[in-house]
Amino acid sequence: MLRSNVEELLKQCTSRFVKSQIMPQARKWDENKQYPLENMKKFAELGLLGLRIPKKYGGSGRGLLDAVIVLEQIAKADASTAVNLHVQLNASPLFVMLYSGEEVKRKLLPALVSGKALFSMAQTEPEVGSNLTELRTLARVEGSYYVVNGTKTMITMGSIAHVHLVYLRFDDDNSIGCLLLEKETKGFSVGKSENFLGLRGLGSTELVFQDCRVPKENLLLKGPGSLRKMLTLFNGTRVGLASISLGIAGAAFEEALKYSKLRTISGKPLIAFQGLQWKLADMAITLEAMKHLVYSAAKDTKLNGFPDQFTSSAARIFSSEGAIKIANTALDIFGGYGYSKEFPMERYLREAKGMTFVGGTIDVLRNAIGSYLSKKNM
Amino acid sequence: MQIVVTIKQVPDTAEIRIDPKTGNLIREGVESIINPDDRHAIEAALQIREKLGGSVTGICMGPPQAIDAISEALGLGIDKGILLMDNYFAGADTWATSFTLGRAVEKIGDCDLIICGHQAIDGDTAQVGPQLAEYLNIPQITYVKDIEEATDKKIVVKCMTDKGYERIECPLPALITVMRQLNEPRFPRFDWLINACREKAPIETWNAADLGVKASQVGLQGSLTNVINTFSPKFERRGEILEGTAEKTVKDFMKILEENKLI
Ligand SMILES: Cc1cc2nc3c(=O)[nH]c(=O)nc-3n(C[C@H](O)[C@H](O)[C@H](O)COP(=O)(O)OP(=O)(O)OC[C@H]3O[C@@H](n4cnc5c(N)ncnc54)[C@H](O)[C@@H]3O)c2cc1C
Ligand SMILES: Cc1cc2nc3c(=O)[nH]c(=O)nc-3n(C[C@H](O)[C@H](O)[C@H](O)COP(=O)(O)OP(=O)(O)OC[C@H]3O[C@@H](n4cnc5c(N)ncnc54)[C@H](O)[C@@H]3O)c2cc1C
Repeated sequence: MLRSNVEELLKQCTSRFVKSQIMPQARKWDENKQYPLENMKKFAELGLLGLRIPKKYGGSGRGLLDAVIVLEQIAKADASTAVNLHVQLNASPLFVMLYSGEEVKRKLLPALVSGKALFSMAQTEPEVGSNLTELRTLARVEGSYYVVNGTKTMITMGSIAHVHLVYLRFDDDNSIGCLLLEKETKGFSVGKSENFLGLRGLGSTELVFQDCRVPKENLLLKGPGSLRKMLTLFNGTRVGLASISLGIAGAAFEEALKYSKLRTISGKPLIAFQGLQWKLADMAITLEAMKHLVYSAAKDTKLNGFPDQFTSSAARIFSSEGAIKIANTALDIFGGYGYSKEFPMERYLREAKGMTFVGGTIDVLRNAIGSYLSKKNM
Repeated sequence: MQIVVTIKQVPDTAEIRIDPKTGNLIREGVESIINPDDRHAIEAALQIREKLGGSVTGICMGPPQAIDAISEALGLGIDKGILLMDNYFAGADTWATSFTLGRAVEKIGDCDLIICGHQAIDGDTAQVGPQLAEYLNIPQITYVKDIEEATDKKIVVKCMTDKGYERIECPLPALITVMRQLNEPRFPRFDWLINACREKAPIETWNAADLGVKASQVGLQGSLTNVINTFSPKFERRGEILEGTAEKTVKDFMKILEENKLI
């Protein structure tokens, strides 16, 4: 039976949507530090938010690979939009799918599909970033509630999300875990908004919790083993982030290549100069290697549908660093124009740099590879 | 209301390049898309269905890769897609294309309205719609830029003319060919695109036998035209300097614009 290849179809259709609906406005969103609210609305209308949600909750029940294909294309136009979508596709809702009770799933997952429940993932605190085990936000057990106190910072979609997935410490067993805190909860407020160098459309803010009473059914993970479960999910989120770096790099490279054929110096196009050919060659090689790492990680489902720690960490580290290199050289190829806000080259570089922090710094991720290697039997 | 939309898959470029040696289209490295006018045809069909109910069937004649045009149309919301695919269909001229599409429409049966794009960006003839209507022996309205009213019995449209537009009322069944001015096409839904790739997607493929046509009636053999030569026309600039007073040169200039139908 003749059918289209679903991955190829998703790629082409996303690319066309992105070119007409996202690309033309990316510069405005960046300059105004504006969260592009309309994008999430359109994604909901087009059934994209349910990509990975099981069919029985109104989604399409697809895997990480499809998410990666879509995010790469979106990141080519606007990395902020891609990060916002990534949180919905690959992060918080997966915790709900895996660790919530049936009632909460029935309430939140269809609401996500229709865009009525958007999520954030709140981990970082003003004094604790890289080391999850030191989190200070505290949940006190009080009858059938958890009473939450603390502050989170730099939270993507902090000002937008309806449901915050909050990482915290539980006072009774001193374990690190997470729960869902809804926006309407008394005592919850959105704090100051971030003014980042790039990725300015994330709606990043502080979140403040003052005696927030969270019903027990909103608990996701608590007690021994919780941290390990969270880390497995992170293996998947890393690959999502890596695909965004891949998209940024792809866009920067394509622009630079096009420009190198159009711009002439002494009657010759830039690409006729060997010095520039070498730069373009190196960019093309790095991009190709990034693609292979990201897509092989996206196809790897060894750990219950999730890629393993090494594959996912390697993909993210290599592609976030690769994207910086490629965006930087691409900017150079545009000469002074590359440094001007008239062209997207400087934005790509700022976005590429930002991707080394979202979801944890890549240096900290190297620790994950280090621990993997030290345990590995040769 | 049963609506059929004709969907052609075309290379994604307004500037088709032709290999100077072979005279063939250079398709390498060019993505295939739904012919832009056909997007407007699909949108029109969906809007009518949303008002009146019924179903929209998309038909496309093309090679196996044209399945992507059908899948995307399902993503947009058509109810069913039919790919007309057979080695015998290859090399069809506009008549053989229209004939094949016509047989498919007959096989579908009981169709109230057929919507075609005005023109394909590659073949560019704008003949298929009118020929299909002739074959089916139903009324046709071309150059449609606005659909004012559609009911189960009739359709009222505005179609473009050189000087402005005509308003035409026509009983159904009928065929219209639509222009891009007609509407703003929607984007395909992701979940429906995914469904379109599943085994049980509402897609059928019909070959010559399914249509009950002989090899001599379709494709290259069934074509009435013979392509003797294909070439890229050379564009040359013609310069003309207007002389005289400002008043005279402006007048002359206006005359040239009018003569060339530029204003
Ligand atoms: C654009 C953007 C979006 C973000 N979105 C979110 C979000 O949605 N949710 C969220 O919770 N957080 C978010 N963050 C925060 C981000 O996750 C943190 O910035 C990151 O985890 C690092 O924490 P930190 O800033 O406190 O740095 P620190 O932990 O203070 O680290 C400082 C430096 O020390 C290095 N370092 C730390 N530990 C080690 C170690 N063991 N070995 C070697 N080097 C080490 C780090 O690599 C870094 O260079 C976002 C940040 C940015 C920039
Ligand atoms: C190998 C080959 C040989 C050819 N030989 C000839 C030839 O000898 N003589 C000749 O005249 N042409 C020839 N053609 C071109 C071919 O006939 C036209 O591409 C085709 O008939 C459609 O005409 P058009 O592109 O001008 O469409 P138009 O008439 O401009 O298209 C109008 C509308 O008709 C519909 N439509 C057109 N084609 C299809 C289709 N295949 N499936 C569904 N809907 C469709 C669409 O809605 C489209 O928007 C050849 C093409 C090939 C690939």
